[in-house]
Amino acid sequence: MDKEEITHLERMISLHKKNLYILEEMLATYGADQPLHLVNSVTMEKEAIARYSKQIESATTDTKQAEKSSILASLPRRPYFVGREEEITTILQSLQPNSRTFIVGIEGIGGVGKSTLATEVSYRCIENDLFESVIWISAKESVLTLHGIEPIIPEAKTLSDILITIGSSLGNPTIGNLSIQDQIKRAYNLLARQTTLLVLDNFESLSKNEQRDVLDFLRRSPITLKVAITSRERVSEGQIIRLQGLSFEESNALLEWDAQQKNIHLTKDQNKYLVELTGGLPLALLWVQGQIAVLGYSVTQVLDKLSLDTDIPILQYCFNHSWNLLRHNNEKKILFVLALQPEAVSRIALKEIAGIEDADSFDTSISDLLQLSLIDHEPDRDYFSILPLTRRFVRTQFAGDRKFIKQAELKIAQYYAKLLAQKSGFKEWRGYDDLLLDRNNILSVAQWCYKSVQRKQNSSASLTKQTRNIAEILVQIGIQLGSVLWQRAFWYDRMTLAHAALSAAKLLEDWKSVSTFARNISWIYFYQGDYLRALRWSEESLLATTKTEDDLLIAAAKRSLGTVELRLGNFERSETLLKDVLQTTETYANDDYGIYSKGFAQYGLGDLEYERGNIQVAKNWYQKALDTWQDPVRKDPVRHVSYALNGLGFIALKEKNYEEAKRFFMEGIQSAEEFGRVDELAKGNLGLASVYLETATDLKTALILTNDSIESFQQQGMQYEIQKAKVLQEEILKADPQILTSQ
Amino acid sequence: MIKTDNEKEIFLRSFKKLENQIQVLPVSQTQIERMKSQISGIQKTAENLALYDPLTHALNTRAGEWLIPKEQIKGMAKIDIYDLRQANKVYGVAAVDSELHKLAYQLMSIFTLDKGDFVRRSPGSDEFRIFSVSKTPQEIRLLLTKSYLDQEQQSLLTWDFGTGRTETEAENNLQKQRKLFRPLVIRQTILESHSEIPRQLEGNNSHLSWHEFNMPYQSLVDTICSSAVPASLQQQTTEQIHAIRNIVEDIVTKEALTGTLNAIGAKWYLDRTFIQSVALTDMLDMHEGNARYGSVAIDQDLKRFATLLLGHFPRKEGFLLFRSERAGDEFKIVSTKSMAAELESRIRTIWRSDQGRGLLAWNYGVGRDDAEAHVALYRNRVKEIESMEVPVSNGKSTFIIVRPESDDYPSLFKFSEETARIIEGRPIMDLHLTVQAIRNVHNFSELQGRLEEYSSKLTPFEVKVKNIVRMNVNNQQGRLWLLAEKTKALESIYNDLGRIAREMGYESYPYKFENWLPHIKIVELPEHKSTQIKDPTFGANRQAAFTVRRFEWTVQQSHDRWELLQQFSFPQ
Repeated sequence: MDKEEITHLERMISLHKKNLYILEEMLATYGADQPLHLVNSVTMEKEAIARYSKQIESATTDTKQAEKSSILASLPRRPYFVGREEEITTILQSLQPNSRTFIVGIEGIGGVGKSTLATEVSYRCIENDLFESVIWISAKESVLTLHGIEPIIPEAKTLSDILITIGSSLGNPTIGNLSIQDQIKRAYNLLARQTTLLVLDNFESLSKNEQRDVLDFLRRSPITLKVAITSRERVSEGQIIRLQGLSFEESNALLEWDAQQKNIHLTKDQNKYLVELTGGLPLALLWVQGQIAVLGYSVTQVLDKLSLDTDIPILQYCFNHSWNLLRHNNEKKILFVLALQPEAVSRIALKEIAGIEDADSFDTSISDLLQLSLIDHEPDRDYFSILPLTRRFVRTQFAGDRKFIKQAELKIAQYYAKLLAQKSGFKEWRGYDDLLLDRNNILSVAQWCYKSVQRKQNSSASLTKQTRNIAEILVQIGIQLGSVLWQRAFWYDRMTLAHAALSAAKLLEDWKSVSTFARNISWIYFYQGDYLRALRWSEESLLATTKTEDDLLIAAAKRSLGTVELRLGNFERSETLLKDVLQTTETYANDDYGIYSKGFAQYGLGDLEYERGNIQVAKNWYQKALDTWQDPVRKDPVRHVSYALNGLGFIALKEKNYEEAKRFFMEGIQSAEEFGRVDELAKGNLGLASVYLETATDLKTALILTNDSIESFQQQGMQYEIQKAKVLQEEILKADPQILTSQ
Repeated sequence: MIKTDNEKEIFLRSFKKLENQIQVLPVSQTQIERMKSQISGIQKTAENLALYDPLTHALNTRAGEWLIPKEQIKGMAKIDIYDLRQANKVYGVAAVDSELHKLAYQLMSIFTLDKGDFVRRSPGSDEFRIFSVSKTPQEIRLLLTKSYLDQEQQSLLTWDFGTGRTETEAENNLQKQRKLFRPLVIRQTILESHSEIPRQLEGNNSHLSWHEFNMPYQSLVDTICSSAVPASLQQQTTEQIHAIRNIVEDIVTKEALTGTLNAIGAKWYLDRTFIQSVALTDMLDMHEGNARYGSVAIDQDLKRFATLLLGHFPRKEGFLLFRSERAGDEFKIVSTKSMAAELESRIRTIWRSDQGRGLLAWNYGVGRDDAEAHVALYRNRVKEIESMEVPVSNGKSTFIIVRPESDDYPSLFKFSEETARIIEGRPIMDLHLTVQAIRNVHNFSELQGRLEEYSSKLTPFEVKVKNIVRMNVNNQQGRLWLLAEKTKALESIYNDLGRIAREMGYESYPYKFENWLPHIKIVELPEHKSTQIKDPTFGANRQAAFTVRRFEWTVQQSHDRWELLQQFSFPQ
């Protein structure tokens, strides 16, 4: 610190001293009945003098240490602390003398770390000499131990208890002998003499009346007092800090520190699982490690307990209070709808499934739940979610009410069925990404439908109306979501969904759908290079069509069979089948699905001729497919053209027309990208890489494209393409062995 | 490699030895206590890895050997998931795994170790078993009933259970419950194997990494090295720590029943391996096999099969043999040296020579990776089924057989195994007694009706066996028979079934009851040895008995292949 600054500080001190003398003189005239505002002002002046003096001394003396340690003695132990830096900065700013805030409310569910944060703030205030005294008063009535929730005697239950603690902390231990009004007066007097931070921990444990009285007392307190309140409920006063779980990194740091203390070891995966499960709730994190270290459970035992047990004290400890605060049934309904679904739920879905028609009531409920930290909101997409622990708690609350659960499950199923009907049409493909946000929720509905149908199937021979209804929903999901999953290459999901829907369709004796689902399964096996399985399923698909008279369906099954036969090398049967399809589809020139099928029959014939080595004939077929798909009757040609473009690209490549090949592949890539067709995108990239290799233009890009394609093919399990791509990769590496080092 | 029989002893002894070594180190008591606490942590982790099924966290097969006091068991239960394959197909493997885990937790919350209850699951199995030293079968049933009734609401999986004092009793009660509530699952064998379950990339198992496993051992070594003990003692102790680590590694990476590598082994070794080729094997009809032969006999067959593979694909030649965690009848051979063609030719030879040797037929597929092998496995199956189709349509010779169930099976099989060892023959796993033949059948369903009606009038009876005889029938390979005592029950069954056959115009055994030798084939003799046996009594004059509770009706499909047509249980 330079001289000039010291001079400035000394000047400030003398200025404040002058003020102080004047004030003291004024005070002296009043005798015993000193007015509060003057006492306050005196304190503020003294505080300013002390602060400036301290800055000059800049910790050269140890005299203050003794005072500090006496303040520290009254505080709870300072635990290991991680994160929350933003919150701490905000709170410390509010606690500065020049800030107008005088109450800071720290809110959040049980175990989120409110008291820990308040403790940390208190210590930091002392370290920074922000207050002359810090008083900690806890109204906590129970603690969570490793053995369960145990009651404790709270330090304060009433305003009087708080006043007595203030009195005894500030040198007036007999304050309790006075009447309540005099206690208040005395407390104000004491508080006005020094700057004080009062921390009221677990404020929600006080009765409503007491809470009101305490807040009244605080509102009229001298400006030398600042208050921090921790509460599981909303504190309707001052600056509010709402705490959520710790971030992943913060949780990890806490877990690692605690594990070291307890000499236990969790693996990285276990840590990750634990954080996901608890949503970074610090108390839950520490509780798990405590169970392992102190009670000697194995890590897996405790994690299982936390994730599967319906009755563990930590759930009650963290959520019971918030749950009991829920005033309206609507709030509980919303929570339950969220708890029944595996992932976040959109606002519209939540409102409709919960059956809350009035927009205002819905918004109020949502806002209450957010304030109680029981739900999370993702503003970008306007979705709501709950933590896994909250989900478990909520589900246990409803466990007994089977009728309600059943109704809610059916409502969820009906909602998503409706959503799919609106959004999964082939012309709606631009909205598929939105629909896929709900993918897991819809798949979970499908699982529920399957289980329900199975259950009924076992107990009675004929289908009840409701079972039929649920089976129909499953079939509908199978067809509509199945198609979206297929286009966006979620093949594994489509496979399981098709198996489930197939069994529902059989139950309904809906042979059209049976055929469709069998064909769906066949195509996935086909693309994964498992041709014999594909053959068996496409035959099953064709068999099912014999019970229908749907020409296009029969054609679809034949097309699938013909394409599989092609890969199995049975070219003649393949040709017969594909030409049959072509003939059928030509009579459906105005039907979108008819045109779609016709294009694929032509495309399949192109593949067949390519395999036979008849390149020119193949080219014609691919071109015909392209023309068919671009038929103006279909308003949206982009959907399938990538197949034909890639086919034409490979023909041009074979004919060494590289420019043409490049153009086809690029167009193919563009349309595949636009439509979100991952498999065709990878094929286009592979074609482009071949062009670069054969023209030796850009081997580096060729390698990158090939590697991308391999990764994509591997994700889909496309064996045939993986092998093709690996051959190309080897050729590139052979052409330029240095390429890897130069990358 | 440690033998499964004495691994517990080796495991415990090695820890004890280390503790003793530490105890006498010339360091302070505090340091000793610290090291001991490190050892106890290591031992605990090792036990958890060794004894718990990683998927469900229930006890595994090894725990059955290490922990469960078999002689004190008062009651047991078998819990069987209904059609797990279908569940895997419609819900996906991940969802089913999580449901299995949930169910295991539910069972383990009701039946806890501290009360002398053990919940066990074998890898890849659709069954849980509960053993209790404190509860009777009735008490166990009572405790399971609530969960059983709640399952529709609580789980995606559907399950049934049976309780009893013995495995057989529990199994029979389970089947009774199953028949009451669930439709029979009829599968077309080739299409509905576990391999049919769509496979997703499985990379996210939560096992310890090898590094995480090794860390505590290393840190114990570090503690010792930093504690200034004499060099020789330091070396001795460090060596013992490394020895323990190797023992533990060997045990925890090995699946207890078959001795093949498990999922932990897969995580630790495959990450560090360059795979040249992969072979997958799959047993046909294991689920049906369990119902037919009993799970003890099937376990025996799996052991036999794994030993065969372990013998032909040793680790020192760059092979790793794994048993699947999700389907217990699937094994995987990974080769780090042989290319696919070489591996395929090796396994083909084994497959050919092993046909008809075990209870269950098996098939294989080889490829450069899992996916290719998976496709090849299916292709080979289809091929085999196609080649079998002709004799299938000609199968008109049927047989009525009875067999020892799970509780009686082990002692008879042991007998067969011991006898076979003495004379270098082959033990018989499919232990059964044929009570009558009905040949030239053309109306199977009519005959089935008659047999069903007949067996509904029978009650369980006992078969006593003693005396071994050597037989050479129709120039076939020599074999040893264990003769059954001719009882009234056997006589009337033999005669009644013969009468049914004649009434329907079919043929039965041509000889009268007096000339019939009821028997169980227990050993197949090596071809050139049948006349060279010195001791025709085979050192045995043992007696055994087993209870028959049902008939099995089988049809001969080819000279060495019989298929189950139906089982007929007697009313209890």
